[in-house]
Amino acid sequence: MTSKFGTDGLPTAPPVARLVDELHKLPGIGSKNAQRLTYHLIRMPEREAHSLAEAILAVKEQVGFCDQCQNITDQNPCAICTNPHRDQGTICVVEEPLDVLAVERSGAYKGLYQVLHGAISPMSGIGPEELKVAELLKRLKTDVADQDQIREIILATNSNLEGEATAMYLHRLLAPLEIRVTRLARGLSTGSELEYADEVTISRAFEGRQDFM
Amino acid sequence: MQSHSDKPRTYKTEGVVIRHSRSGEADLVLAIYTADYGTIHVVGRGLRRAKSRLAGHLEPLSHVAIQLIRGKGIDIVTGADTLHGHTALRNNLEGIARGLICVEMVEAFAPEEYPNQELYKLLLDALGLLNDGEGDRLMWHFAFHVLRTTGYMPELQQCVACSNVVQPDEHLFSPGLGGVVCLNCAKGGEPAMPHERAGAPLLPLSSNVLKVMRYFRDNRYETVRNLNVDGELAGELRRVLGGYIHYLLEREVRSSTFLSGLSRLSPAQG
Repeated sequence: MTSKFGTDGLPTAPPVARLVDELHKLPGIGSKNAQRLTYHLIRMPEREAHSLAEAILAVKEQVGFCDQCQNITDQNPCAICTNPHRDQGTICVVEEPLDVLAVERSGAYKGLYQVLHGAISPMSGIGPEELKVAELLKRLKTDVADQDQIREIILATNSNLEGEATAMYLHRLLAPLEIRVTRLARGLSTGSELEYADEVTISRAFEGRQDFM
Repeated sequence: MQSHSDKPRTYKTEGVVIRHSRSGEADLVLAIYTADYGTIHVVGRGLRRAKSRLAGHLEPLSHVAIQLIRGKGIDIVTGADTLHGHTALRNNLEGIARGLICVEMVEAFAPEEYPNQELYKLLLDALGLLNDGEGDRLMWHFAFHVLRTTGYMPELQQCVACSNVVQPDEHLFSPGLGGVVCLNCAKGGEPAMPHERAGAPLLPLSSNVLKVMRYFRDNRYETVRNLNVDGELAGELRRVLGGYIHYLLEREVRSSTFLSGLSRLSPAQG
């Protein structure tokens, strides 16, 4: 939508107004930020502006979903799925690609992943069909039929209502496959105090208690 | 009716968290159905951060006491304490789905920023009963009473077209006109016009289901909870009530669609 006027209604050169409009479409960018960014880009060296434009195009052209785990990748299958040193017997199911990054940063996990691209949120109309659940099921059924390598599925969806609903749904869906399904420990987070914790958190912390090591 | 400007700079209330949506880098915008102000939309700063102290208290379906501060455009939650976390309900999919149906219906039928103490208590009681393990029967009773407390109770005695009392087995249900229609008015001819103009097809309604509807309408849950509603009756009740609600909201209750979908999965394992 090219307008003669910027988002504040004042007359602006069409290319400037166009860029403001485009930036305004991005999440978290209001009209003031869109204008500020636009004027910054106008003053930026041409070389840098080209670099930004090319990076945006490259992401759209070269990045897709890994056929195996549905993570965002530029090579198919992705680097994690094709890495022979990773534990081929466990799959860690997460909601978003950024969750894969977070887990990888921790260094705590050496297996494979499956990205759902969301969580079940019935009120928002997001059910299993809107997520990459079918892809997970297909991947597991193929394994059960052919290689029988997968020993454990770790449900690492968020510990909020949607994440819990997703984990419970997957647990029920995957039950017939008779593969071990585990859920990440929930309860008190490191650095938190019992006094301030809510009852659901405390309840889960008690349920998940283990022998002290 | 309390308007936004009546609120002092800092204020307290209690409510049930309906939904949340992401905002900015780490914030959540919450819809909360409150005792004093009806449905409010407020922001919780930094709720998505792992170390957030408030986040656990502000999950959907929690009954919470909240402290707020007036903000520019949107008020901000500064404190929250769980009054009832409905933990048992959260531990099974059907419980979550039914809980979400309750808050989804309240959000859809209750006008924004308009308190309704009776509806609020109805919601709290329903969530408590769901937490205790009650199921579909509670949901029907809840639905009828949401309709009643928000002014949408269907007419179950007199034909909505001609006002005559309907006779047993000689009635249909009109979602458009909001009640029973006698067979005379349902057949062709001038009196039939009103429900056709209303734009929703008439639904078959058996006497047994009409009796169940009147029974749910007229009684508290403790009275109706032992009523046996078998498969066929349940199906018809679902169609009539669901059809009426669908007409009023111009969409399905999404959490209800999700609940129906669950029955297609293998049975619950606990």
